[in-house]
Amino acid sequence: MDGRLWKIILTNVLILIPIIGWSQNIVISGTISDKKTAKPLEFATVVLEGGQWAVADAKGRFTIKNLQEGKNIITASCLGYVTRKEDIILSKSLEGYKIYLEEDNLAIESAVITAKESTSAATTSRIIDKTALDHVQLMNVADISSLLPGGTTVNAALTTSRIFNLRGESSEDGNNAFTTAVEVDGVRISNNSSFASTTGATVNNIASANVESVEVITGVPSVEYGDMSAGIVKINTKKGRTPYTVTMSTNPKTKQISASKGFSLGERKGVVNASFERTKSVSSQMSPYTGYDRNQLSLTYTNSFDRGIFADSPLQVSAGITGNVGGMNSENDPDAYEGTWYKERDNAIRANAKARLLLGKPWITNLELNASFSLRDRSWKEKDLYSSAASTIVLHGTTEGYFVAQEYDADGTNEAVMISSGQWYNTMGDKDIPMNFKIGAKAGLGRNFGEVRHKFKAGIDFTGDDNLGTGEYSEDLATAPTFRTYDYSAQPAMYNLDAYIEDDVIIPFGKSRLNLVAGLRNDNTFISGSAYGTTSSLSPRFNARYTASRNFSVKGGWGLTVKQPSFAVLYPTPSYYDIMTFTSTSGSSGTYYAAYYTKPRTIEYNQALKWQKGIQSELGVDFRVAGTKVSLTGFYNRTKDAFTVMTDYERFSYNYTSTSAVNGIAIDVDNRVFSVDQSTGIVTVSDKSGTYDDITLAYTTKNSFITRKYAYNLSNPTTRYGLEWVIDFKKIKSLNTTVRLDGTWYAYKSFNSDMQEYYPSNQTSNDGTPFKYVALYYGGASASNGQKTQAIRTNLTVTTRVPKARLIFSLKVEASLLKYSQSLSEREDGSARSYSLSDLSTPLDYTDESIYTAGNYTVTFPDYYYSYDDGTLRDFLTDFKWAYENKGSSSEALDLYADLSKFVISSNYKYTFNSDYISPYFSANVSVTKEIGDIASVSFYANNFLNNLSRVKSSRTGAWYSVYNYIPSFFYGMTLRLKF
Amino acid sequence: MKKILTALAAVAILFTGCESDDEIKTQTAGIQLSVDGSALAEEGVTITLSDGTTSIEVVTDANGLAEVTAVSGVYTASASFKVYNDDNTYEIYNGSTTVELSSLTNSTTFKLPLSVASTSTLIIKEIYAGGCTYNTSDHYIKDKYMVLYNNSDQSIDLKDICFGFPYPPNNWASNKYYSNGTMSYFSEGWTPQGWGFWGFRSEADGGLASYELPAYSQVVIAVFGAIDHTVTYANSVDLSGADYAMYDLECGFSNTGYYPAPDESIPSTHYLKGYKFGISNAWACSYGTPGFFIFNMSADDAKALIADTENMDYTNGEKLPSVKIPNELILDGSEQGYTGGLANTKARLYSSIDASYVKHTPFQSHSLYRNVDVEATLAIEGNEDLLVYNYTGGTEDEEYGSTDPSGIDAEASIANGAKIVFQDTNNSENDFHQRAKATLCK
Repeated sequence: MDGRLWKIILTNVLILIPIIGWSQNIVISGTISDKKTAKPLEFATVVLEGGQWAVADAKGRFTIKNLQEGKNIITASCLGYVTRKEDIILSKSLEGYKIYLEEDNLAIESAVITAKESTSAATTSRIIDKTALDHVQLMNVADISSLLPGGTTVNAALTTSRIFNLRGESSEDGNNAFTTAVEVDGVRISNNSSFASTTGATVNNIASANVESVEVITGVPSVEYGDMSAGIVKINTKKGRTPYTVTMSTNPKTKQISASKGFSLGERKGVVNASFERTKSVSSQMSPYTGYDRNQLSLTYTNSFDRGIFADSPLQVSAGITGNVGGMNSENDPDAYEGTWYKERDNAIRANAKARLLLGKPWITNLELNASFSLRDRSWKEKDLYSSAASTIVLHGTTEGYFVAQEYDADGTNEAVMISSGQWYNTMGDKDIPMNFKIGAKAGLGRNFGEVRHKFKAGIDFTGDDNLGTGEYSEDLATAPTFRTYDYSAQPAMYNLDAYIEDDVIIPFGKSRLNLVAGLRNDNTFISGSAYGTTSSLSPRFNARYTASRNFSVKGGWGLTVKQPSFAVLYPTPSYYDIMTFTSTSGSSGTYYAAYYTKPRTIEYNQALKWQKGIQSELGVDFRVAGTKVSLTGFYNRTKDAFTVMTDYERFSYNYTSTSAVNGIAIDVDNRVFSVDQSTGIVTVSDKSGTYDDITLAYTTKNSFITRKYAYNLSNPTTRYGLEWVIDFKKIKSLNTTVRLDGTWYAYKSFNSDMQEYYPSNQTSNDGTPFKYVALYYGGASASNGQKTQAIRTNLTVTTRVPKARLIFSLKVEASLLKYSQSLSEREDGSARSYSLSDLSTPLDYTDESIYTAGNYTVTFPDYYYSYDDGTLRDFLTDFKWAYENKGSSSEALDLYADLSKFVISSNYKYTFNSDYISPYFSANVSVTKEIGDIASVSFYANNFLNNLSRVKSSRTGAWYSVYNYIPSFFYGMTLRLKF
Repeated sequence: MKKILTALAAVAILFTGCESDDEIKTQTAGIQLSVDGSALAEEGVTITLSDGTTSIEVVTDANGLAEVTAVSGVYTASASFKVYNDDNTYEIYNGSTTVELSSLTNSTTFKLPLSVASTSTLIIKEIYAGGCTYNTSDHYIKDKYMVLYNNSDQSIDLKDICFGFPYPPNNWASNKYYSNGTMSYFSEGWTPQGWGFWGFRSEADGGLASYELPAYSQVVIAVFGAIDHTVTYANSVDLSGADYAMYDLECGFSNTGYYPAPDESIPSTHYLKGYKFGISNAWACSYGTPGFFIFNMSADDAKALIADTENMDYTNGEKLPSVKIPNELILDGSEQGYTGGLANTKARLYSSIDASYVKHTPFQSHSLYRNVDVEATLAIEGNEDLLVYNYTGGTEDEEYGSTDPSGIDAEASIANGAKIVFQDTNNSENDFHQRAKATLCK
């Protein structure tokens, strides 16, 4: 056995380079028809294992040429029918091969309303098909997360932004949601060019009614997929001829109506799928004014050519365009202050085009060219009411210097504006238009070498991310609040050129087979015109699956993934430090003048910034025993060099003029005109009436620190590991019921090991000067620097089918058996970072007890600190202890003690570091779908239908909390689908 | 037979018809004023006995003993009086006890225990913190002020006076110090002050060597913006003429929304010094229960007090330290009850500073104004002709409203030249009333 294995591997390694042609002239032709009516199925697709394909014509006929001898698998699929796979052995040309497809409806035995595990893919891949999507009544595509193992239900309301997060949870380090990729028909929904935050793209604006199937790939995906780590969610919309379908869906917060149809344009002219959807969602039924709208129209054209020049090399093309107009609008809300509102757009255009040529040559089977484009408008506008009894000073300047706030001057630079007292409205907005595109080519080659089947894949892509928006603006600068313009479109775009190569090998061993996948991907990111330059990375990925028989297979994988940064990390939004350096006294109408010193905060471009990496590994086993199917997958993921934005401080000084300097000068208060020197800050008062000479006011120089931001990679990796299980019990034939138990055990640990600076900018030193010290903390200026969690969630789904009545009824019990979290305060070398303390007024009386068991307050000290005058780092605890011992006798020591006390961080509660176990809780959903003839189907669901309002206990605080926070509240919905 | 029956009936009628000639049994007892267990020899103190329906008043003799003769029953004897000192300061005595008069207690002497509190000459005369309404339903509360008054005939130097309010600012909200009906700090002799407090500027800090407050005169302290708020908010007050302003951006109370530049007329030596130690950038006092008090602390002592974490109390958590103000330094204070949460009122000031609270409704431009001490005012020569009566500035028509029981219009009397002495029994319920419009309203 061993020898044979080696021989096979060696043979294939040597034959990776294209060689002498093997016999490739087998042809297979036949017909595809509907099993029940024997009607031919036009546009059905037939695909062979090596990637050769054909599309059936009006008579259901198909022909595939240039095939090799040997074992093969033929897969036939058609929109609205169940995909069928058959094993065939090609020894000579086959004619008249008949394939019958079953219509996909609830009458068939194999209708599944949960996610289907793919047992042939080498990595973890799950498909959620139309039947399951209809049953779950998708309103927001993010709802499919509840169908994954251990997934929980969230009540759909589009007013909450939802993102996908595969094998990760929210509020964790490592940006897991940001590394979860989402694609709709090949168009990547990317959040890279967002300046706001580094998180996943919101999926609220993807029409849910037009989705045909969703594939979720986690583990170690193919090298074809880049710019992601956690996994990819591929959403496929309907393509192919379909009858008119009208769907009406309702739940307490959302109403949806959609219509779609796939038209055939004529013989060999292709199919156009048109779909329209309107969804309106409100956040509160009691006040249905603030809501989210989604109005989407999509058109897809697909056609295949196999005549004339394409007779030997059929061509399949598809092109699609989707437009969405929608967003949030609170203008009609009667509860808001009169005249105030908030509007946010969520418009999008997505377009994609694909051409696939079946060349059938010995050195290339398929060639695919694809292009996609996505533009999203996330601009918002807000109108607010402001009022003040005194003048309000607002700042708009972006240059460094001292400026006196003057009344708004339409022709001036208006760095600092003084708005007189009173009431006024102002509308602020932000133009945020992220866009991304991709052009790519992919070549596939399916070849058999003896018994071994190879599927090679190689490809090259060019992608770009940019933001076309112009940033924040105000409709009336004269009364706008403090803001600065920052033109998003002026920042350089990020381009990525990638190339990948992969070999997918199937080696049969009698009845069993071994599937090996090996791939290598190279990503090169160009950010021209910026300090970042070009970055290059390699991602190797390996997968293997050994299928012993239909009843047993084992799989494993290991790979590297790389994630590009977001613009929020690359180009942190410039911020400005505004210090009031002078105020005059108030005149007769409450007006007063002020001078501000504006210092733009330096943004350092970290040239050593690395791209975030994910190291993923997986091990799984699928087996069948006594009719029960079990699938277990264990995973271990590490995120290295996670993106983050760090802060440090630099020294600066400014000249401060106190109000007392102007109080009482000779010039009459209403005749004073103030001017300030832009570079020195010295204030001069002149007399409007000319009676008195100019007076220069006295000032003092103050020293302070200002923040500097820079992109950074976290040093300590984030670890996630767990186990997913899916157990499909043997069908209870008498009740026509299947029971599925799926779940996940998930563990996460992360802590910050980077030294971070902190300066309490709103404090003054004990001697009255601006605060003079900056401290450095291990892992950040907070009581805890990390967290570890563990959770066990499991779902029991009982599905009862009544095929004669075309009814599916399901009951899903979602259980959380373990929910553990623990705040951490630790160092990489294991030594203590925080100490246990019983009396907060004497922070130096800490003890050696473990902070996790002492049940006391916790105190954290910085490791080092430095002062404005002397930049050398000093040990904090040594100096703090000296100041404490001598504060009674020396005023210097008392000043130092008062100042260093401001750096001592204590936990807010005595229970902060207790481990938190939330007691188990459950929620049950019930769902029914019934088909009425072939024309209509109705679905109804109720989430948490038992209205579980019990309590859970948190071991951390010892208190009981309502389970309301953890499970969806009682909710229901109904959908009516018509087909004609 | 008829005659005998008639005679018997006559006798019976005679007996029953006659009123019993018994005397109503009265008892006599003595009531002795006492402080801390020993007798207080104070003459002329009126002791009031009440059993719910009747009320009897008796006066003590030179030994502080009063004799009462009354019908048997259970009475409550109470006394509240002042003992004046030569410098016009006085001590306040307050006390009550149960007196049971019966044949068994005839001729016994009951002790009436009294608590003593000294008053100071410097008092808070007016507190305006409730804010006003504008645009029908919005509230404006950035216009608070208080007025200090010299209640004696000697001038006072304000340089060591500091201003504070007890923590938490809203006394109807939850309070970590409160358990079993009392505050944990009452027995420890201090009052918690959160965020920071204010004091007069020392000479080294840009202030004056002394701040004289002449006899029977007042100063207005602007707690927030010392500007004319009525320009934008018609129902608000005009603080552009305030005497002092709590304005110290450099110490960290730098929120210009609450601290706009003070009016030119206020000299910078009159900007109070802020002693900030918490995280807030404005002195966050309450619109419902401001609870202001004044205490004695020099600028150097104040600076040293907030520098040391050992002077802080962390009952409210690490981010909300309170500094402990020793009760013996507190000169005067007033507690309020917010009418929107009266049932949950938890008095924060120690009973010797304020034994009760005055009911306060915010957002109506109301202020809390002291009642006139009629006795002491009339005792000053020349006042009688200058006093103006028929005071109509109270809120007695409102729910939870009050007015000055003396009926003297203090503001008008002062304008007329009178020297008003205000009442200070360390009991806000008796000492303050809710005034319909703050004195600085336009």
